[in-house]
Amino acid sequence: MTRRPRAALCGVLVWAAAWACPASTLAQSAAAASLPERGRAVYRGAGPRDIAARIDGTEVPLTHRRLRCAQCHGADGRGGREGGTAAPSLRWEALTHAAGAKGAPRYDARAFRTAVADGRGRDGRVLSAVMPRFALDDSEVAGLVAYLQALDTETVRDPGLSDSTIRLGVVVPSRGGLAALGTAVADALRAFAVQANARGGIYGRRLEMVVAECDSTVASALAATRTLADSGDVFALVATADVWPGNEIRAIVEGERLPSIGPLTFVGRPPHRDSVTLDVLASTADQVEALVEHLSAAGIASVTVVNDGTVTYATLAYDVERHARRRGMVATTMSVVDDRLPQVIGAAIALGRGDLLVRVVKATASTVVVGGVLGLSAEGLEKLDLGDRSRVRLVSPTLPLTEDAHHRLDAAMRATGREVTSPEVQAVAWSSAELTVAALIGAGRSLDRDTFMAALARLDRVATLALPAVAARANGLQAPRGAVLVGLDAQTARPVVLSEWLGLQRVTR
Amino acid sequence: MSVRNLVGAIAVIAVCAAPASAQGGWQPLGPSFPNVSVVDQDGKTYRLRDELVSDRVVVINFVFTTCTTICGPQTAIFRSLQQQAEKRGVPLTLLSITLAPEQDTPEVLKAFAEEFDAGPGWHFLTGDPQSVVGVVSRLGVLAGDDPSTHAPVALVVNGRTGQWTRTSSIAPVGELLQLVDAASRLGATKGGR
Repeated sequence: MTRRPRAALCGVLVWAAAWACPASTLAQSAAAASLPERGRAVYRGAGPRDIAARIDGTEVPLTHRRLRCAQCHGADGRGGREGGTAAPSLRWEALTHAAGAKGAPRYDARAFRTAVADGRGRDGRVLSAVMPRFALDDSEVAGLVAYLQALDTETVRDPGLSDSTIRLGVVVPSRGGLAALGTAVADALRAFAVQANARGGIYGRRLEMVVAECDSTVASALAATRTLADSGDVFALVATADVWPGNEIRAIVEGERLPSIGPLTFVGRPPHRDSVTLDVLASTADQVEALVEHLSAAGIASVTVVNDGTVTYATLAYDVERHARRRGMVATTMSVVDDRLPQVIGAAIALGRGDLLVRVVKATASTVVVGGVLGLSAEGLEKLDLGDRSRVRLVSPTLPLTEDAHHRLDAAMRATGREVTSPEVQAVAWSSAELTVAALIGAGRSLDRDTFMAALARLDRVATLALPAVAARANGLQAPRGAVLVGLDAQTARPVVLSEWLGLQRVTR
Repeated sequence: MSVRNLVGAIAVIAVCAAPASAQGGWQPLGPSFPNVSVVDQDGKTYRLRDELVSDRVVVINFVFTTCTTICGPQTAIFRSLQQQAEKRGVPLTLLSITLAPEQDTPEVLKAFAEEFDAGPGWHFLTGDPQSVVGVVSRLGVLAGDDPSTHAPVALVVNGRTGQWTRTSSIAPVGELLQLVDAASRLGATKGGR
């Protein structure tokens, strides 16, 4: 495999810093969902509020997001079985079926509410302890009943699905500092859809990309994500922008249980095992942790972690320091908030923007300066006054594109009249779309979000254009944890890959 | 229409593999009760029989963290059992043994334990996959290697008298508590650690 040490290698990294991070509140949904749609959200553990759920006889606080109807009774409401435990059908037809000669009354909306809220069946008996009691309000009960009734006629599909199409969404900045990268992502996904459809689509359904444009602020991206989630128009998100330290975009995605594959994110977010997000990029925290392990293995005894004083990077620096100490290294953390030069002992890890890297390089004569520099574009690297570039190392969450991969991407883009403008970013978006299609195929013809997520969780070492082999199945979905180490060519400042993939063990919290 | 259907269409029907009454189903532990090395959510290694069961009253259930159905409810029931035993001053050790040791590392189990606010004296156990699967299979919980086929079984053990019984892990908390009381009456015992 030949590597292409190209200037754009670090293009992906630009996302983290170029985006300013003003605080924002979630945009409220203006769209009013229909009754069955609201019921479907409750049934799937989604919707706007946490519905308190309790196991009878216990006081452990749980919610409908943890104990979803669909988990036990099936996405199609036909019931299910795990080991010796059976959950009956909740199809309205089944609930209202006459219960034999001895005749428990049929369920109606009122009896249904009594069962779900108070745990008493239509014959008045207490239901099994394993059936949670849910504190539903009137509209949620009405929605659930309407949804279960609609299931009988098979008219309720998950959002973004029709007989002939699967609509995938992406939020991209088309204005402001990130417009070029946002456009690059949208172009790649549109080209991908054209290619997938030319190959017959997914079981005869065409892929359609719904591109929601925003400007380069978190508030705008949040509003675009909320609108897309509420539109009922997309089945899943692919390579959508989520680069801020806060957790607000992910909160929308998880709250609506809107599958999200390959969000472009760099902030450390430990995966939750019940998550609907498949991260394909190692978090910042994972990248620097891999770096520390690499340094430790290379015999580096001391490290200074310099950060720019922002909460995100200061917190990350503390984690890195702790990790280095666990590896037996002497570790110091330092926040640099003015023009003073940091006092560096041993190797330095700089967490911040390019100007911080320059100051760290100047502050030490040690032979190794390791820049875990986030948000440094290739162009920026070339322009920075780094002096002896041979002392600079970067970490990257993506493997370098091979010549072959670059040609494949280039050919696909050209075939649709588009260009490769930001190879690594576009390759990540393309790879996320490949994973999405692998799971769509794996889910089979009876596609819904649950079968899709199950198929996604079964993916194991799927080959993609640019990502390390993704094994998503152990304990939910998560990115390959690790990084590659990148140096700078002394003459041209172009990135040169210096290591294989430095993998970390998987962990879920 | 069977009697079961009369229980109500929404009820989840638990079929216990080998239910035992509170008083009548005590069996000797016997030499075959597993004593393998297991690791808990804090990364500590124990011998299952010698160090965790020892001479205590112990309730054991079986979970895996990616389970989407009964593991959440049965873990909530265990938490409640622990709280109620504490309130009554009944010494009790709880063991939740994973059915999927390859994926349920100590870190994963720790997160699961924290989600359910597990208190001291409740060990979530994993370890060498072959050993753990061996334990589960010897205790008659799982046939084959698909964790989703496991029966909702709990084992109530009195280590001091060397007796145990099976019950449903998704029985109402009161029923489990009665069994714990019954186990405690079998002999004077040490409490949870």
